[in-house]
Amino acid sequence: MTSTQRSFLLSQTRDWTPLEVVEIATEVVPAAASSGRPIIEVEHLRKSFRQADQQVVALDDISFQVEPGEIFGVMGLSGAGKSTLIRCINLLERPDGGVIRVAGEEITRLRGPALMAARRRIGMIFQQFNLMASRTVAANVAFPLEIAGWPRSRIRQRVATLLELVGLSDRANAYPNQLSGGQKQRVGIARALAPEPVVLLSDEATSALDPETTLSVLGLLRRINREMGLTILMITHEMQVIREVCHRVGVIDHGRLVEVGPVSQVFSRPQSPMARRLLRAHLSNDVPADLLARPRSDGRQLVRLTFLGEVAEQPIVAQLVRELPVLVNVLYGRIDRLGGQPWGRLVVELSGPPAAVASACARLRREGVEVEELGVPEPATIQQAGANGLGKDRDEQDEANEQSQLAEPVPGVAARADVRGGAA
Amino acid sequence: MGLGELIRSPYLWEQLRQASGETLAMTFISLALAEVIGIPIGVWLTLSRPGHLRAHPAVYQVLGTIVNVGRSLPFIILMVAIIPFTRWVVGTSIGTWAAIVPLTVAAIPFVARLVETSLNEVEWGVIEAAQAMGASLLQIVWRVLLREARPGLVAGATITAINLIGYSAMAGAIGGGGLGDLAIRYGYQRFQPAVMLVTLVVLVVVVQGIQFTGDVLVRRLDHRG
Repeated sequence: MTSTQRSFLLSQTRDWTPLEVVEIATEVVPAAASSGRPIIEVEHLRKSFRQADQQVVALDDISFQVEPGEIFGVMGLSGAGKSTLIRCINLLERPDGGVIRVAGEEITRLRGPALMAARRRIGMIFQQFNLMASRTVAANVAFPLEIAGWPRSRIRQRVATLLELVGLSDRANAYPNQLSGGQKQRVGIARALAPEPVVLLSDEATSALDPETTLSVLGLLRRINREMGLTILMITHEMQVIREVCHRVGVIDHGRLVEVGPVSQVFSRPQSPMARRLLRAHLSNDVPADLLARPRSDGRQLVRLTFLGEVAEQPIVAQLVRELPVLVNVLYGRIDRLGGQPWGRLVVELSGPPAAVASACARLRREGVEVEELGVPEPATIQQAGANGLGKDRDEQDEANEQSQLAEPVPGVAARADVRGGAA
Repeated sequence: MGLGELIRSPYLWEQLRQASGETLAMTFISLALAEVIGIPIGVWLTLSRPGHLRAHPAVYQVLGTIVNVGRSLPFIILMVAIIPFTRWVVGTSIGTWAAIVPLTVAAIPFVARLVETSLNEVEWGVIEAAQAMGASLLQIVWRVLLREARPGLVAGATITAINLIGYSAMAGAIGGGGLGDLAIRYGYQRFQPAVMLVTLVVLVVVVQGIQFTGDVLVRRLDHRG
């Protein structure tokens, strides 16, 4: 399966299973969030690489903080610097400048044994799992404990507990090549958790998995976050992953952190051009082109309403119809959760006297609903959906993959799914 | 002496038994010594390679050149050239032990290169994962690189062993004994093709046995792919 098909399927799966999947999205404000000091502090981080006789800036003055107990996501296009950023946190890449503190300890000052000790408190999982082929599942999970010098009996206990946690107790003696991708990542997670880290770094951990497996791995991460209060910093190019599990998100564009905020806020009201670009496919693909193109007679106005938070739970549209001489024809709708907040989007046609339509819009805005007047279809969204990446080499595929994030899933499918969501 | 006569001759069987023992001794003692010395050199080559954990272009270049020079010397010449060294090590320049010295010296660069190739096949992501878990350099070499590369290392040792059997035949030239020596002295110099034939059969059986054992071991160790 190509990566484009994957990301398409992922969005499709999400649309077809709106409620049960969405429901588990955390409503919880991280338990330990109030305990004061951020667990990861990044200040003025800079990193550049030498590439073909010129310096390429990978990270340009990045500063942000991750609070204890939260899941913080970093999103951006391939090559934006996400991977470099997460690899700087445990010094797999040494930054050129800036300070990184993990649990109060200044990582960027450490070398040698002190650095090794610090790394044992930072778990990491990888896109390609990076398990040792010569070791069984149990021996892979035991590895970080062996190198930390744990006694054998304690290692055995800890490994058993972790395999139980990730649901692989019965595969303890299997080798990685006998496991599926999802199982491998579960072993990776168990291994990362073994030395009881204070944070978990996730480097595109679900990007090599199929949509269903992605959901189950994300479910595991969310459970670990909630039950153990473990802080997770994850990078991904998959918007669904951020939406599914993250509390807050940062957006990286050409090595700069251009936006940071709660997922609900960034996803519903992206401020930076890059965030808008990344999320366009994810959120604005809800108006079928034929709807926009249809000729509209006078006194009819097509608007897109976005509800976030409490507003989404009020009968605002019903009140509108009762109190003003306008008719509301719902053409299209979608209800979901973003970072644990209820979120809804309706495309409606308002009809009535122009003055009444205008005051209806004004009133909706006063209630806290985002109102966009639609008329002309947005260009260049449908055509891109044709780029399906089949038979292309890796680089092209990555590019197609990026594009597909900007493009709609096949319009017919999205429309059906969304109507369902709207009816719910 | 015809083949039938030969098979009934206890003297030749005794000769054959002794020569086989010498060949196996020369092969496996020098293999063991060459691995013990060659593996660290192979590890050093790998680590000093550009982009690796202890990247050092100058060290890599110098070490690589020495290994290449060592591998390009014809064995028969190497054997004669290092006679003073051999004498210094084992106190004599004649006999099986005197053959083991040049065999070992010849196999070291060969082993080093094969080890380097095997270690380079270990996925970089796995090495990084170990780093991220706080492993020291020694732990990475011992518990990740050498362990993950075990199938390749065993396959390499199998090739080295078979090469050493070939080289050991030349050891006859300095009185090292062995199957090659027997074949040359009886089969060639005394015009006894039957001896030559029997010797060759034994050599083929030994080589097959080594290859088979190596393959079985590799298969048992290999959990990749």
